[in-house]
Amino acid sequence: MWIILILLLAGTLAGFAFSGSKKVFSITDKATLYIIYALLFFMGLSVGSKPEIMKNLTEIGIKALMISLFAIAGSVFTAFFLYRFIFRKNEK
Amino acid sequence: MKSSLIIVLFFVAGIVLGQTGLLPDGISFDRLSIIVLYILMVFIGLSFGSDPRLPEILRSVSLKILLVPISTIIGTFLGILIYNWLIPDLGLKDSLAIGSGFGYYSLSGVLITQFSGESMGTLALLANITREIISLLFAPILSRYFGKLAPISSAGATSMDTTLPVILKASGKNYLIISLVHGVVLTIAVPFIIALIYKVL
Repeated sequence: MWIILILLLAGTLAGFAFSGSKKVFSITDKATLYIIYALLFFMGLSVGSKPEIMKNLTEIGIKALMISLFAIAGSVFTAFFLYRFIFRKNEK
Repeated sequence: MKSSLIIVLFFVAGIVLGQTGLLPDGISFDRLSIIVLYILMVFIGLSFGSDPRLPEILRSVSLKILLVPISTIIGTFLGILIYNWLIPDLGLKDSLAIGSGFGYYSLSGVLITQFSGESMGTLALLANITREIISLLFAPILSRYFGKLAPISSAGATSMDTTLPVILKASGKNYLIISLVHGVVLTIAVPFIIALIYKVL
């Protein structure tokens, strides 16, 4: 799976070469979106054809909500202290 | 926001079609998905690297500004560890990886599907969509009660695009650069952290 990271780096370096080219950016940005559409569609297909996931969709949804609440709470907690002790000083 | 909605619609359309059983048995989208995922990684890199805002964003990176995404990563892990301790039904690997989506639901959903199966991938997708929606809705409240960095941290990787407008409204235009740098760092961190979690842990 290192190939994923290598491809990402290669793409980024190639992107730097076109840095500032609005055309390259808007084309690749749009292409990225279409590829994401396709992948999410495939992902939906394989989820939909697996009854064991479909049966538990409500449970998965509740779990997802819990995980996101804990993730947000944790990051808001550290952001609070970072703001209070380092960033707030710069404001009047 | 509009594209987020379309992404979700594609996922739902896939589910509906998959459920009808109209697809012939034995067709596997797994191989195709991996190839498309590889192409996606190249394109994410290309559009990231050629983003016209990137040079200015990189120029304004300072150690102090980098503290914000670092704080978001540490805080998210902290929250996930507490979740895992209270509700230990997911493995540590999967729950940390899902948290490491930082709201970037399309990529984290697809990546975690490859590493850990559709069940975890779906959970990652839903958990990270929820992170984006909560961040959109609660940015003003978070900013008011937990400081101006709170809506940025909550938004995770989305602080550079989908949630940027509500963050600026809640915390002020002064937070534009911080919010952009935060989003850029987390966006690029998502695939690395997820891959590392499954490889190393």
